[in-house]
Amino acid sequence: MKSNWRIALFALALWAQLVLSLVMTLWRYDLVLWNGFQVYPSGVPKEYDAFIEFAQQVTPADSNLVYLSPTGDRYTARFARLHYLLYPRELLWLGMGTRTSALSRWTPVDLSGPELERALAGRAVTAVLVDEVAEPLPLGGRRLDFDPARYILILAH
Amino acid sequence: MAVLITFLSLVLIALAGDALPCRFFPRRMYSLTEHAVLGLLLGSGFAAYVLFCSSLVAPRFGMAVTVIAVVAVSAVRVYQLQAALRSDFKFVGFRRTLWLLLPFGLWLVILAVVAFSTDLGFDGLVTWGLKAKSAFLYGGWDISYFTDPLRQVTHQDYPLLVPTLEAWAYTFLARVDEGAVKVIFIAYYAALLAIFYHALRREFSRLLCVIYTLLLALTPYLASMSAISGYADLPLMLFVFSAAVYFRKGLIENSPSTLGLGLILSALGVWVKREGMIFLVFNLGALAVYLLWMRRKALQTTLIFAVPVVLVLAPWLGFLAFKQIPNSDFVAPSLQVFWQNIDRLPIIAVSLFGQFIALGQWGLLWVLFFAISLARWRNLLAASNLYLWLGIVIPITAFSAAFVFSAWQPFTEHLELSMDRLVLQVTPLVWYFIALQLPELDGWLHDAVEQVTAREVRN
Repeated sequence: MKSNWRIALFALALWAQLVLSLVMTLWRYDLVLWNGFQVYPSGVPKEYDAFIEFAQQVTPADSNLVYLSPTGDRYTARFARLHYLLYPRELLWLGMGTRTSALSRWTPVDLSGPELERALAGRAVTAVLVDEVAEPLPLGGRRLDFDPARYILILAH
Repeated sequence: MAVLITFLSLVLIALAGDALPCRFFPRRMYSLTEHAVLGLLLGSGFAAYVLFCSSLVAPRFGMAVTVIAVVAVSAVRVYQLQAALRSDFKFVGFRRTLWLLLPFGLWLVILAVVAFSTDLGFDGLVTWGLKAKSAFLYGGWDISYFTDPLRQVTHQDYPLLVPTLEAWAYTFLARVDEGAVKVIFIAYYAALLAIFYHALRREFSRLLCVIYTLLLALTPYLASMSAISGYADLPLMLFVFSAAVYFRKGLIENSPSTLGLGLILSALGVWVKREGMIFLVFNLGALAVYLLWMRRKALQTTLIFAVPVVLVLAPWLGFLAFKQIPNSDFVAPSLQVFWQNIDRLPIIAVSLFGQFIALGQWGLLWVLFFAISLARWRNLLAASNLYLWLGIVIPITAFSAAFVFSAWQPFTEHLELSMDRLVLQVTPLVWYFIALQLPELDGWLHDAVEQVTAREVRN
């Protein structure tokens, strides 16, 4: 008798688990498909298209690139897309901020300082893309010619 | 079409892998489920192994060599199967399990719709995806990739089985398609359910096995997060679970070949994710204890079993050591670091406990596990049950303790991003353990079904 009520209790718990799991999963699927998430066609998120198209247009086929991304959850996804579309061209990525450096082991660099110049040295960089600015930055030789205050401000958010 | 081609490329891998497990079973006992799953697992390992080893010699031709090797072995296997089907050979239980395609097929279609509607996720895109693209575009593993500081974001020390499968699919598609490679993960999910059902079917009625398989399939974190992403946790889960099932079977039946199969699957788990090493070490330890218990020449026999494990792991681990590729997440463990970071332990313990009570992630899974462990503690005196229980508890404890050596700053971010996925890896084992501790449920369910049927007949 004792074992019977225990078994009944476990059976009830398993039944509750089944119902809870089904509800939880279908609810999350509903979120993914219809409510609050973008439905992406064939693995290329629409929200990246404009940026990637721009990147392809403004960068010469034989150039090396610097891609400067803002910090946060989305940077790697953008980086990954860009990396794929531009591969095997060199993509030098300088991540900014603590989270980025924790993942990539890149030390955050000050864009206006000599660290960046050292990072770019010998890599024949001809264009710099700054995410969410969508504007090529002119490079003269090994000198990065742009308004550091403006771009550092943008990268910091 | 891309989805179909990717699927067919996986079938090719499974056929090549199936050339191996046929050595482990008596000729007439042939379960289609078992061989499809083992074929997929061993074939994936074979492809990853060949691609890596051939890339060490001729990096640009690594994928070409892999394609030739896999196609050749598959062709031999198809020839063998044809010959076997003409003779006295038959698939065991094929018709009896065919009806399962209806409920689980329907569920897989729903899951596939959701999976194809989302991208591969953070690690799927970066850690595994970029490696796969590199291997595809380069034609093999570019050895300089692993030491290039610019690629550190992809965690160069992470193993190569999942990227290999993706690069393999890209090779057959002749292009990169991050949507189509989701087929790989859906196939692994289906294989997990199939081998889980098959493992339980040795013990219980069909209806109860279906219920437990549904419970596993619908575990919230697995169904709604892991199975629809491009993360390597799901493949590792399948390797770990299959290894444990065959290892346990080998212990019970005292069968060296089944034990060997369990160990090889454990070793291949290390090719999926580094966490696989903990399961492998656990299984090797369990083997040593078992051999001592059986009063065999423990050291000698363990060494014999360890030979295939070493052969499977030597190229990759040797390469990491030779190239001095550092661990990207953890510092080298030492007593000094341990004492220095000992204050992390309470935070880690709270995080782990938080997982156990996270109903949104696991439902009642962990509550049931601990309740049954307490209620049926006498069952743990049996070696086969103790093996399973320790196979759940020791890896989770080891994973958690490893955060003491986390190199992340702050380490809590590492904890936050990884703990749920580490707990996930033992989920099928937990369900398996729960099912094995409640054998009465089968009779109880049988009685309940009979009562309902009798009532319907009366009415």
